[in-house]
Amino acid sequence: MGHFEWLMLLGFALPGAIICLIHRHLTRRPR
Amino acid sequence: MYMGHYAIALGARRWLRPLPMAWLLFASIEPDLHDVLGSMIPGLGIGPDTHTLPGACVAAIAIAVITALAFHRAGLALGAGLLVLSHIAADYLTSRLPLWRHGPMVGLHLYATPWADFLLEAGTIAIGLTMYASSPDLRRPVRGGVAVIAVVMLTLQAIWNFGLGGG
Repeated sequence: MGHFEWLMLLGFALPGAIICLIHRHLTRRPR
Repeated sequence: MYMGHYAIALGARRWLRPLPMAWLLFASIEPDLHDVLGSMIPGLGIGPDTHTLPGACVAAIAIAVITALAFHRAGLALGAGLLVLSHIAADYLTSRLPLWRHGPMVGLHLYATPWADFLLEAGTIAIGLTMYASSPDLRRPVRGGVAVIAVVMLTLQAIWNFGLGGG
């Protein structure tokens, strides 16, 4: 796998992880 | 298209709330991931067909079947499949791609005009996030979280359009 493929994976994984974390925070039920 | 794909997934969540966010995001970029993973895992590789109508239809059916098996709802399966199809529909705006293998090349190729692509993707991000923020199951206020997502998406989109010399 070349540099472009790694960059592409990172380019999707990083914002995807941030969106999932924030979404998890926004959908967590208060105790 | 780059961050616009995630924006479409975020907007689509309005109708697909039972599906995990990671699955929605995955479905929206399946053809791109298929390209990358296909180069790592030979069994997954379908060459340049990932971004053709037949290739995207097969991927959409596969994602819809997996969604149906996991979540037992036809509507959710259809929505996940449509998210895969939205990928190449959006890419025909920003790129020039073959309709099928060796078929005619179509698309507006907005990547050639970075500002035009950035404006299209920024608009898509704004619409997608507005739809996402209106979901009734989110804890209020949502403004802070949505603003962070917007900044991340717009920053990466700007790097893609202006920092890497365009796609």
